[in-house]
Amino acid sequence: MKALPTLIKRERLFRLAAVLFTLVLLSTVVLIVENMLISFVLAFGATYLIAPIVRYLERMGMSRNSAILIPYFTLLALTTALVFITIPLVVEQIRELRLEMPKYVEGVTFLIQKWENQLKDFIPYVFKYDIGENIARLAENGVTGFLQSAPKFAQQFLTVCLLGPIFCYFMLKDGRKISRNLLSLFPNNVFEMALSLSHKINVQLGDFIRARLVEAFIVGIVVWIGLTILQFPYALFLAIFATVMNLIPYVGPFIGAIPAFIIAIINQEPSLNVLLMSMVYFIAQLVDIVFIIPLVVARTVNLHPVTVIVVFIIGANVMGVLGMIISVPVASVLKLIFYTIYDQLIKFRA
Amino acid sequence: MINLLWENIFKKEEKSQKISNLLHQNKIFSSLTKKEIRIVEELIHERHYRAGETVFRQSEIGIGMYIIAKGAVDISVVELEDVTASANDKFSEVLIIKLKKGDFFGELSLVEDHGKRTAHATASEDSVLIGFFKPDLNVILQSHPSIGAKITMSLAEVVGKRLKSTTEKISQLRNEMKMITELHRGNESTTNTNKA
Repeated sequence: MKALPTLIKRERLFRLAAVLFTLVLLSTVVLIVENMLISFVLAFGATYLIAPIVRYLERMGMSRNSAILIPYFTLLALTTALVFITIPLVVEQIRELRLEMPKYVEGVTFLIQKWENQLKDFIPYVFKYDIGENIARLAENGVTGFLQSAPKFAQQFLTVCLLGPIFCYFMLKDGRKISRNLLSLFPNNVFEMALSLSHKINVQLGDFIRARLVEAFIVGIVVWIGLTILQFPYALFLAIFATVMNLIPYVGPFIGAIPAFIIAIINQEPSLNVLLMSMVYFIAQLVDIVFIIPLVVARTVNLHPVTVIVVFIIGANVMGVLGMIISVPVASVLKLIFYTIYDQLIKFRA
Repeated sequence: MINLLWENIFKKEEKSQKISNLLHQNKIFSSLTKKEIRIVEELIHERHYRAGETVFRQSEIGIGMYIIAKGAVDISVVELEDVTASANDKFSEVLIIKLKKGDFFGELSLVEDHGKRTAHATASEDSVLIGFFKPDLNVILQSHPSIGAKITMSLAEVVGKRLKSTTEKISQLRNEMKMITELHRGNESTTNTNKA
């Protein structure tokens, strides 16, 4: 094969450098600027949720602008209404929880000390570390930290509420244009691969995000209804926690149920109540496994459970709860990039 | 400054007009109305190639077609220099056709899944190509099914015509081969009679 002229080679390198520079710059801005990452994640979620409705309305003959604005403002109105209805209830439950927090901290410390003593009796020389004391200190610090950071959290919440919808609107309106402009930077020899990859990522992320959101929402509703019927304390707060945690694959549902069990143990709820409360979480997971997963999450990411656990731990270490939620889709996108490049460069040229 | 701005606006409009005309003259998009062409225009990709630059290689996975907006493209295939020789022997690039402004190529990739390119495409002079790819066709099929159906029908027609012409060429070649074999047999029997 004839050697490519140096000019073409140089041009390709320059274009590739421009693409990498743009991607690194965008990622840096999103990661460094405060509240940007969470606003972006929320905007992505909302965009992928609205996109099928936009396509449906366009199919019905509506102009793209109207097809975007109608579901956008409907979702905005629904979310605002939901926030205005639930926030006073959640605030009230948090206030109650704050008042009763010392009781829970004391209860948890007592329980752990009891288990620790039992363990010490069982293996007397191993435990020189005072687990109970340390847990109590950690819990106290945690509560104090949470209360101190409440105003900052409120400010962050407001910023995200403002930025998220703005990003979402522009992603819907100019998403195609932005993606086309970014693709135009790619050198000719990898352009088709980049276009195909961007399309595959779009489809995979869209399916994953929509499935997870619908799944978590339904689980949250089931938990809320169940706990409300049982007149279990902090039902709404626990349901919201279960919804958010359900976004985390595999371990999320278990983490989501932990606070309810702690509350039940500390309040020394009757065994029947604990059993019924466990049934609520069990039914929520059953609905999830039997109905939602086969119907909604069927085309979700194809990652091995061990890979999911590993990326989940990495995500949790790097970015906390947000990292736990976004680690799996990010890993699935990286897997997709790897396999597409492999298919294009190695397998199909062999 | 103002002049420059106006000039740019007009240049942009002129460019858009050119692309719109090019799409309208193309067999695959010719059945679309002006409004529908504008929707397609939002999805196509303009790519610039230098003379000698490869557009795609034979046996590479392809995902779409190109229309030549400016310049020219050579379509060639890699063949064994001697069909009776072993695979280790030399390969050579055989030029199949020279395409010019308005022509299109690679449309089979729009309908194939993981389809490999059957030929090399190389820009023979500085060229501007308009790319239309399978993901773009999918977007159109989802959001504007009537436009998608028109494009798919035209695409099927083009692919069908190419298939028909290939079948005719194969049948013609088969007839020619038959004639050559018969001639060869005739020559052989004449030689044998003469020897006897």
